[in-house]
Amino acid sequence: MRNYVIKRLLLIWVTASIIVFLVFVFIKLLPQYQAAVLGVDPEIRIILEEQEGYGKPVVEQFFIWIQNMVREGGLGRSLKLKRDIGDILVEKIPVSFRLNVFPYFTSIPVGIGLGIWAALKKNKVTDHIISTGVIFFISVPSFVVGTMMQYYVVYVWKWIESPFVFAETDFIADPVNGVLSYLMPMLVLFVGIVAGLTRVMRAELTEVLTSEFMLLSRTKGLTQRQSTVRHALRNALVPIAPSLIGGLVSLISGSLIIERIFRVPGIGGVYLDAFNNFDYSLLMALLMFYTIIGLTATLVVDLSYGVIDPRIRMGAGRR
Amino acid sequence: MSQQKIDKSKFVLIQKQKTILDETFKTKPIGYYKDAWYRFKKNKASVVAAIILVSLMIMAVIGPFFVSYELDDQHAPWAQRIADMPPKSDLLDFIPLWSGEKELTGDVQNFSNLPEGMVELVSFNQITNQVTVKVDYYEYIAHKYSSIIDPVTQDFAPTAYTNLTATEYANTLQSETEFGVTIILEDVLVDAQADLILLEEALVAAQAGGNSNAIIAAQAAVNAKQREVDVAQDEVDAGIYTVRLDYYEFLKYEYDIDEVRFFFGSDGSGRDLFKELWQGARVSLLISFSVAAINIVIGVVLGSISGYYGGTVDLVMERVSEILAGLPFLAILTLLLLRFGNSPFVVVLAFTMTGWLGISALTRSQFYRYKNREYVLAARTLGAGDRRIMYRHIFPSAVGTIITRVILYIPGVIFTESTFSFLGIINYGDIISVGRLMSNGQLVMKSSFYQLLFPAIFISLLMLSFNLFGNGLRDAFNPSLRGVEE
Repeated sequence: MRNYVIKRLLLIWVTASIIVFLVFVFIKLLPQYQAAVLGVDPEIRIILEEQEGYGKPVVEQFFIWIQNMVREGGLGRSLKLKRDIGDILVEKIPVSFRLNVFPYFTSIPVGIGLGIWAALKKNKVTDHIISTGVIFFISVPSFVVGTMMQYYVVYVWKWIESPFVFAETDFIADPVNGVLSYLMPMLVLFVGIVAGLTRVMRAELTEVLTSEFMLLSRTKGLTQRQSTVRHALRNALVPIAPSLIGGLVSLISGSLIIERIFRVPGIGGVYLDAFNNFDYSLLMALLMFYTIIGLTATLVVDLSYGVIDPRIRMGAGRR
Repeated sequence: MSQQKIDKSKFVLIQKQKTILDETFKTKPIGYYKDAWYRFKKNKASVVAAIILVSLMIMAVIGPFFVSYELDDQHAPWAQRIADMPPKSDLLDFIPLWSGEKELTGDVQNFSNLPEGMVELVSFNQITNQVTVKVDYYEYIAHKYSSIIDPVTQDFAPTAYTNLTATEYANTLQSETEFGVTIILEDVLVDAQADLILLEEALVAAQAGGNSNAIIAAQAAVNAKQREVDVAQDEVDAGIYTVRLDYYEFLKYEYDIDEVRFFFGSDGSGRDLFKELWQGARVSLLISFSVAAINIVIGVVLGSISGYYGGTVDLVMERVSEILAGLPFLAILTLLLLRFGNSPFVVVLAFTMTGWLGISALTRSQFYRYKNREYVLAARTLGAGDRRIMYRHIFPSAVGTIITRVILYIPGVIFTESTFSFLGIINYGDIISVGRLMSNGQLVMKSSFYQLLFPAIFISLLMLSFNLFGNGLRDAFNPSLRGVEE
């Protein structure tokens, strides 16, 4: 197990380096790069050219970039926002995290519960209702759900005053309405996760319920409830639990679409701004951030399989 | 082995004289696809979804042709006047959405001069001293650009007048005589000249009367009118004809817009949303189908090579796939868009960079599953080459699984494309897309909700029917479910 973890960590390191290098080269080769990053001020320009190793081969520039990161202990500076990128991330990640964490943890019991309910009542009215809801919320894009909710809640029913979440200052001034303003984006996220989870849970559980060991457990005298809880659920959760654990890693990356619709000042909005303003140093850092998050999530999923399911022994194949 | 040529006539059927006891099949044999088709037909929801899907696609092809006209960018000022028009249809008039009514908010005096019966009071805001009224927006626009009265001067408001160029003016006059219609309600120069003649006659009469006050007044009126005529004449000399128009008639005769009626309303620059929506649908569908086609070809070819040959080829391809899979789609999309600019081709390219990975992995696993089967061995023993085994023997077994994956992949592409064009990351410039229609609609949803509603309904319907159709197809192609549903 330990060897496997080390091996995977090294592999991730290699993959991440290759990807970051590719992204770096691609951004450096953009025709608009120099004008956008260096700016017009000749003095700053000279300093930056010196610092980033202009005129040298791209590979060397890449190592200079890494060197600068290590030496200064940060991710560099965003020229457009005139701030340190590390500071931006430190400021924005908690906002996205706060928004994501609550829907994530509330949706897990609801989604799993609905999935179990639907699977146990398969092909009955309950199952049909739940499955219809699931297919609806899986199909309809979150930006449709979000904007429709905004219109009806704010303009038709007038339950909440503003369709957007409160900025920090307003939030401190009026915490009650501030919390209320976060309800809608959280609800959209919640509904999306619940729908996905219910679908997977239902599919997994129906498959387990039809397998032969379930028949055995009933024959040896367990009630439906006992055999479901003790045998079916444990097996059905095996493929689901790792992805839920992997999802924990993604909590710190914001959802672009939700943050845009509800104007949440999180990491997703920063990315959109960086893209629209050609803020390449920020873009580079954010892409690196997203890549590492994605790779870490995959790693966590793979590792937790081994922890959760004793049938899968990590790295045992070689021996 | 040398080939011997044997004459056909030498062959004799040995059973020809014997009676065959085995009965021939009375029914037609049911193959894999036929069976899938039968079982698909049983799933009512999927059939309905397929019908909706096909009609949406047909509408995407022919929908834009239902709207024959378009005021292009050269006529932007004209189109601007019919911007943000709510949906109206004479057939569906009884449904509130299609009544063509719109709520307007403003000072009381803005609406006090509208004709009787046009406005309906909705609410009055004590604090801001403003009223909200409901009007038939089509009538309101016609009124606004032809005969609205300024609340202060009690004369026609400046918006009631339209500036025409010399050619437009000449064309309009020609249409008037040709078709016998009234388009120009008031011509400022002509009317002023006529008034001037009347006033000059009045001046002559006043001079004859000898009342000095009357003469002075009449002279002042003549002078004022003369200045008006001069100003109008100067404008006409500069090519600007100021008139009051019957605006819809003007559009009808000058720009072939038979009747200003927007079934889905019009957007912020006066374009017909019905046409825009189906054109956006075309883009979305075209992109997703071409992405799916390219990814299937690449994925199946690479997946079958890697699955069939295995070994080093497989190992190398797996490592490459692993790195590609680690690249976030967001990174690929944004970098390609920044590098090559916004065009549908770049978007397709971005989707195909890593999109084939899933299909390739699927094909690979299917090839691993089938390549050691006995029938493949039999084919090889009979001398079939690698290519033949791959495409005549293994691939047909894997095709059902691949089809279902692909069918559910297409709505994923539509979903992603519309999401990123909603975010503004994908932006084709002149070519509209459903996602952009929605993001435009979101900005004005308070006043013009329909601009958000119709694209939202379209995209939801498309995604729902695609997913239901795909699920039905998946169940139909899954042989293990055969006979389970009954």
